[in-house]
Amino acid sequence: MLQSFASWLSQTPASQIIQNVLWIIPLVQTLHILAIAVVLSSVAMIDLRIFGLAGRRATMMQTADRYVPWLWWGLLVLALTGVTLITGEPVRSLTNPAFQIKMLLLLGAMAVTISFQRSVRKNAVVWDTRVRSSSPIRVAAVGTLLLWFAIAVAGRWIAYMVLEY
Amino acid sequence: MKKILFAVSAAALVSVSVAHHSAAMFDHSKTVTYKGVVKEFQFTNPHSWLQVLITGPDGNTVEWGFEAEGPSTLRRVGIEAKTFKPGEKVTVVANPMKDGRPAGAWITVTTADGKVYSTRPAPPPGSSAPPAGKS
Amino acid sequence: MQSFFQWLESWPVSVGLRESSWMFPAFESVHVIAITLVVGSVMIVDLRVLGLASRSERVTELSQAVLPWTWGAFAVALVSGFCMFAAKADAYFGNTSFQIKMLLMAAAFVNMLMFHFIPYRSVHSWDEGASAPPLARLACGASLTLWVFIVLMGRWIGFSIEG
Repeated sequence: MLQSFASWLSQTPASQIIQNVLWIIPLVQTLHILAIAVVLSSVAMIDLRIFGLAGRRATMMQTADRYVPWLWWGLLVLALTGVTLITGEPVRSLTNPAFQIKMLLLLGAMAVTISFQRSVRKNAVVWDTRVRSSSPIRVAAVGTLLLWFAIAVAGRWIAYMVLEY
Repeated sequence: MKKILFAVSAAALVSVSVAHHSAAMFDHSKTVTYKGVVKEFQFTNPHSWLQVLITGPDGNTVEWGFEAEGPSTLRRVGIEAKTFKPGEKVTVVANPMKDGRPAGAWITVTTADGKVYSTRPAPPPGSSAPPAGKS
Repeated sequence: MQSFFQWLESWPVSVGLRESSWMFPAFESVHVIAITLVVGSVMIVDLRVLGLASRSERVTELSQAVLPWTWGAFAVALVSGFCMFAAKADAYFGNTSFQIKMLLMAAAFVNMLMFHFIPYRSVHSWDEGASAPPLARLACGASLTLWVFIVLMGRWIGFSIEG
C-alpha cells in the first residue's frame, strides 16, 4: 500500500518538477538543515537552563516561553521541507528503514516536548526552586537532546539505506 | 543597501553553483549501452567510479568514468572492491552526461560471465525517472 | 601539493572513510549535527545583538554562556570535516562548492574577529535592551548571511563532487 502511494506520488507534476529542476532538492535540504539548527539549539538552550549554565536570571517558564515556540516553528519548516523532499523522491524516502525510524523517533521527541511544556506550566514553582534542576530532570534533558541527535543521524542515513527508487 | 548586497551575492553564488553542478549532471532521460574493458574500479565513499576503456568506431580509445554510490550502498547489492577487475570486458548501461563528457551514472554493469550488477534495486512498476540527486 | 594530498589520502582514517560501509555516513552525521549547533548558537547571539530575540538577556551573559559551546561544536565540525576532506583531498580541493565554502568560512572568521575587537569592546554600554551600535548589527547580519551560504555550499559539495 505504501509502495502504490509512493509510486502514484512519483508520477504527480509536483514530484516531476522537484526531480527535474536541479537546484530544488539541494536548496530545500539546506532549509531543512537550517531548521534543524533552530530546533537543536532551542533544545540545547533549554537544557543549558536546566543545568544552570545559561539564562539563570530567567525562570524556567520564561525560558520555555522563549525557546519552545522557536522549536515548533522550526518543526513546521522541517515538516514543509520534509514533505517537499519526500514528494521529490517518494519511493526512495517512504520505503526507507532509516526514514521510518526517523519518523518514529520524531513522534517520541514531540511527545517529550509537549510533556515538558505541560510540566513547566503546571509546576512552575517546583521547576524554579533551584537554579539547577534535579538529577532525573538533567538526565531527561540530556536524553532528549540525544533523541533529537538520533533523529538527525537517521535523516543522514536515509541516503545509505535506500531499498527502492 | 544590505538587502541589495545580499540579493546580488545570492544570485552570484547560485549561478556559480548551478554552473558547476551542471558539469556533474547526468541526463536521466537517456540510457546508453557501452562496451569496453575495465581500467580501474574505485570502490570509495561518497561515490564509486568504474573507469572503462571504450574504443569508438574511429578506433580511438577513450577512458570513461561511470559513477555509482559508495560501498555503503553497493555492498548491499552484492558489489565488492574485487567485483570488477582491470582487463575485464564489461557492458555498462548508464545515463550519459548532459554536456557530452566521457562519463555517466552507471545503472547496470554486465561482466564477461554474464552476471548483471545493478547499482539500484529494481524500481516498482510505473515509477518515474531515477533519483534526481545524490546523498 | 599532489604529494601532500596523497599523504592525507593514505591516512588510516582516510582509507576507512573511503572503503568502510559505515564510517563515511557516521562522520557525515557528526559533521552535520556539529554544524547545526554552530549555526544555531551563532544565530541566537546574532539575533540578540540585532535586537530581534532574547532582548531581556544581557548580551555579555548570553554570549559568555553560549559561545564556548559554539567553539566546542566548531572543533567537532572541523575535525570531522578535515577527515572527510583527507579521504579524497584532491577531489574536494578542486570542487568549486568546497572552495567557496572555505572562503565563506574565512570571511565569517574575519567578521567575528572584527566584531570582537571593535564594537564588542563597548558592549557594556549596550549590554541591555536593543541598542547595539550599527557596526555590531552589520557584523551580526553578515554572520547570519555567511552561515546560511556556508550550509548551502556544504550541501552542494555532495551534489557536485566528482571523486
